[in-house]
Amino acid sequence: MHPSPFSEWAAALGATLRAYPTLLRVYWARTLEYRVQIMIWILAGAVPLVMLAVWLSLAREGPIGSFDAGTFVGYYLAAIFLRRMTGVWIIWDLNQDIRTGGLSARLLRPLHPLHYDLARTLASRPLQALLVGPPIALALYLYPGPQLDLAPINIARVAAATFLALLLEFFFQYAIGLTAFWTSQAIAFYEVWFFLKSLGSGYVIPLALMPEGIQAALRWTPFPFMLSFPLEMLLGRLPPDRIAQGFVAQGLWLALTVVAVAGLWRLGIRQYEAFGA
Amino acid sequence: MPAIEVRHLHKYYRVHHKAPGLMGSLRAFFRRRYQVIRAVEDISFTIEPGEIVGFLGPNGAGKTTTLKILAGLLHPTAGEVRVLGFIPQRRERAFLRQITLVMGQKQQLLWDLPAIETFLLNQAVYGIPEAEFRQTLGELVDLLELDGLLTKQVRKLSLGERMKCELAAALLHRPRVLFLDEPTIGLDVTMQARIREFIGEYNRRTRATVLLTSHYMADVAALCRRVLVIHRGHLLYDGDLEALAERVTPYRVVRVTMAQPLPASALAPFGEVLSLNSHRAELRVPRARTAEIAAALLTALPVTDLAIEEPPVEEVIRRVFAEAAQPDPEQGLRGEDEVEHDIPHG
Repeated sequence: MHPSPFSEWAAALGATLRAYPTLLRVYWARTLEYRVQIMIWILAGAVPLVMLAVWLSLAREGPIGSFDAGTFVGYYLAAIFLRRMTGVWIIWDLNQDIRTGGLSARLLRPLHPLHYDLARTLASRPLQALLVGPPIALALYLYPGPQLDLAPINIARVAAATFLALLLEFFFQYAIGLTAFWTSQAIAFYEVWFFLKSLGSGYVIPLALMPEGIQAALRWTPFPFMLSFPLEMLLGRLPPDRIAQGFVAQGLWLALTVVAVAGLWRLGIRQYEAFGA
Repeated sequence: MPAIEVRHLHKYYRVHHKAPGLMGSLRAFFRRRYQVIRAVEDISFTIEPGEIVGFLGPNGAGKTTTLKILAGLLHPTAGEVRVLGFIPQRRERAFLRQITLVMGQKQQLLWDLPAIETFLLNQAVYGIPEAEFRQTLGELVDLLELDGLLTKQVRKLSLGERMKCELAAALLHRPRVLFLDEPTIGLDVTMQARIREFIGEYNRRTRATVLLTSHYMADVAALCRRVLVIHRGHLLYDGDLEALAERVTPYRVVRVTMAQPLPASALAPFGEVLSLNSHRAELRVPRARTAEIAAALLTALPVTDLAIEEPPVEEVIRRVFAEAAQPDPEQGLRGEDEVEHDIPHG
């Protein structure tokens, strides 16, 4: 009745992978049900345009650091798109599910609850790309300044780095969400995290315009690898050694967060009280 | 091997308390006061494959906590639990594939999509082969009369319709053990009866083991020969529903129809008159003397019809809990051999 741990693990992995096409399809269907949320994505995604307007007015006098007006346009328009590709919104549901017992229904099924959230996160990408991609591409095409490195090899690298950034964001958010097993403050932790990330990832201000010391310090945090890294790569602003370092950093941070999630899960699930449900 | 084995199960929760008002909140902010809730204390029982067992107890007795432990949602504080030979809280795939837990008010159905989407999701998650899925789904659609419901958005279904879909979603993988927590709560009488019939039918067809809690005694009386009675975390009774009735309600109800109306005084010598409505009367008589009194009634009075009935299950259960509410709940039903071993001594 109890096969070896490895064969059981392999069977579980196989079963998980076989479930994914259906998971993705169902959550794709669910994404399409949330039409208001889609509008909010588009509106909230426009925040960098405000930053862009500020920088453009400043850059009228001449380039700021290594950024001229065209670079700013390219940076923030690409940031809008990459933010859509890497943004994750699972912590509210996770927090709620843990605290009110909503997790129970998923715990009863032979698939780790994380996969529903991961599938939901992945399944919403195509629609976001479809809605935000064309206008951004058009804007970049019409505006003469921006320089993007669109060589196939770079596109592939940027896509890989963007996907890793998405996973990094997902696992960090999941880890923070799992603190809901112990505390009612998970969302508060996330707010702090979100604030640091907004500054540290280059979403608000390009990291290249920050003082050298801060840039160096940020390289030891996960933040730059969650947006700035693929973004600057897309703009063709990263030398090969920084690209290699970036991928290594993404891999290490991802490994670390996956381990953290696994550990928090093991400890937390013992605490779970399945209230209400 | 028994389907379910529970030995000396304990489950304690720690909850924190807060006095009302601003000061109370402030005090709780700096210093938390915790209290340990003993939801389940030293419960042991065994259920054989194919049994349907009713789990009875007032709100907060520990029924749902026990079910959640058996389904692997909660870790026990102490004690040993085996379901189909598995340790539930490890939540191994092979275990989860063979059990289900239905909770009346919580849903696994995806709210914004038609129920069929959740069914397909479950097919993928449980790895149900297509042919088996089609067949099981067909059976469930028949038994639960789901025709036309599967492609409607779940949030547009009525409560009863949704409950039927929940039940179907929970049974698509043909579980061998069913934990049902208030499966008929909030449903009208017709729907309750239908779900009840369905559970009985499922048990007959698949020999699945069922452990069921319900506030509706009709559910329990119709489905379960054996009941577990739990109160304040203690197991008070484990055995036949009928034997329980005999012990805690040592009387029966004799229903008579008479050729002509009689005054209550004519009936009173035979037993306590519960109701008298011209030709019809109900008498409460001591269980041991039922036959003797019935015979006497037939000879002494112009009786045209006579029926002997058990007291309603509600009454039985109310009496069990009333006894249990004595200062020391452990003394509740002590003193009878058949239940002695079920009473916790710890």
